[in-house]
Amino acid sequence: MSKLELKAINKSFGSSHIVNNLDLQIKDGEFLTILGPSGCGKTTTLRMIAGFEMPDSGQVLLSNLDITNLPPYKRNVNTVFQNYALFPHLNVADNIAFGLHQLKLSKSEINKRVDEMLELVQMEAFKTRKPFEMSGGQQQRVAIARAIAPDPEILLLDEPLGALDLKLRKQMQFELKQLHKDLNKTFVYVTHDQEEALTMSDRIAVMNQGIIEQLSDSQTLYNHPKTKFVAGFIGEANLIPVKTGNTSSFTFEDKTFDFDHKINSATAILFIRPENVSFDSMTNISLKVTIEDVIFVGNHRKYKLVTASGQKIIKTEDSSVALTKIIGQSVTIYFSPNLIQIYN
Amino acid sequence: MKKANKYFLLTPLLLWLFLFLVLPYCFILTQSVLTTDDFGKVIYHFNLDSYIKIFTNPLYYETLTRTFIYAIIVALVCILLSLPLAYFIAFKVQKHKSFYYTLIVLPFWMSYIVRAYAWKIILGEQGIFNSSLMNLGIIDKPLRFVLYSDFSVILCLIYIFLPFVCIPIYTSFEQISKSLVEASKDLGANSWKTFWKVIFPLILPGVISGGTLALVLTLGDFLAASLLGGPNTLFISNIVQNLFGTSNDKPLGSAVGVVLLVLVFLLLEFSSRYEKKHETQ
Repeated sequence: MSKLELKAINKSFGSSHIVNNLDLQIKDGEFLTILGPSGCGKTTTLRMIAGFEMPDSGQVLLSNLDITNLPPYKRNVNTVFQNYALFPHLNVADNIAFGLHQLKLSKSEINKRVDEMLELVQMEAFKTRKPFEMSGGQQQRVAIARAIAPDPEILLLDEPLGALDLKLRKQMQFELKQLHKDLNKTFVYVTHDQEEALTMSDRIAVMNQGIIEQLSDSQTLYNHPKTKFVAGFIGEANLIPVKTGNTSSFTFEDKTFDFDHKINSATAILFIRPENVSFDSMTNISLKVTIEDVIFVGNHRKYKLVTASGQKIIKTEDSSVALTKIIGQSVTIYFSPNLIQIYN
Repeated sequence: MKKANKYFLLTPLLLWLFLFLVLPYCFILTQSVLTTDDFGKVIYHFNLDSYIKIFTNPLYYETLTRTFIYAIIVALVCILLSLPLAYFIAFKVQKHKSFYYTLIVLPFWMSYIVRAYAWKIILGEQGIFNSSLMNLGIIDKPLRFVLYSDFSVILCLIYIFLPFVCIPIYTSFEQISKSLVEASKDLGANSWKTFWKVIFPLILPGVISGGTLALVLTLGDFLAASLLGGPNTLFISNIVQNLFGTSNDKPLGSAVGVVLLVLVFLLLEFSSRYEKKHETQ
């Protein structure tokens, strides 16, 4: 059963169509990330779930109840904001208690819950601090505690780690993931950082220009991107123009290869990850290239290859593999058919 | 050398402040403990008679109290009028915000006296106010109490000082991040609760500083009372004006000035202490 369902959501601001006929089902207890470049409509989608924006058309269902027209304060979802949005005039405890006061809980219940939350985010020592007396990371912990305190059905996170430095961001990613496991709550996370998405999510919805291009788990997304956009957006990719006369072959560098695909147009794009480009003979899809450059990048090495027609291809390999090739050398590379995709 | 240069740049200002602020205050302070001969000439004889008179003669202490009450009324009404106005411009206006802001500031560009006179025209027996009411058939003859009364003076002072209150409140509203309002609603507080639990505490410093400004300015105002006041409308500054003029009792006038100054300093001190206590950054 899905916890949250978005049905045919449309939203425009002025003349720009931000969210385009969007459907999305979020399962109970899952960590779902909406990933996309800025302006793709991911934050708008989150804001429509929170109730800060009303969709022009479509429905938002929370636990099968239509909440499309409910104001934010009547929705049992809470948000962790990008800029934390802690109340500057309240201390940490009062910030966390804010949502609990609206639930009309008794004072002792509120105090108990606040202490629980402080413990959960390891901020007990900061109980009476004001937001401006804390670092960004500490403020973010409090913001998370504040959003979880009223026990919402869904926790929405709007690029919550965007303002933190890299090291802290990595640590918080790990902690958020742990928190999700401990709380067993549905998390909807919005980010433009693909690594963050791949690390934390159960499923990722890649959004582009108001539509979801692909919704799947991290591995499927990385290994089998459904569209050219997803292929280019997630990780590094070789996107090579090829010719397709029919759906059972494609032509590249004047060689025709047998390969089943769905594209039936004159030109198409072949996708292969740099780590899947192989020097070892294994398939009939092979190509003569010249090594233009070899770059050492720590745990892997990067080959810049160029075909006879000038098409550049990147290959990476583990640095533990002995380096046997030299710059300028002519080599044959191989693409495994189950690791390539052809897009329009 | 560099430091000396920096202070050198301040010299014109310091000179100005010394000549036209510090020095006059020294004169007033000195004069307030002197006395006059039978012809009103100040003689250099130290005594505290003037201060004793202020706190024993009802004319002085009652006028001081009344002025203070009027000042509180003016400040409160200004705050009450500014809150919705500033809220509207800060949160509800989408386009042409600066236009609305200019409308508030616009009266500053006109002379106080012109604006005070305008109220004479509006509130007078033949004025717009009375003639409109008469034309509407609500009254038969002009209401006399609206002009040359405490009412008209307070009305004029509210009108004059409203921008001083509205601008700091508006600025406070503008500084509130929209995400705080959203966070409040997200956590279950409706608009009313959001205003009192989040917005109001955050604009309170602006309310206090604007209110203090109106309070202090009203305490020192004498024009409104002399232009629009009735025979019994007397502000403390009118008395000072009188003591330096017709009554020619400069020591007493100075003493009233000193008392007023101390009062204003106390108010400003309370207000700034309050603002410090509620600092949020």
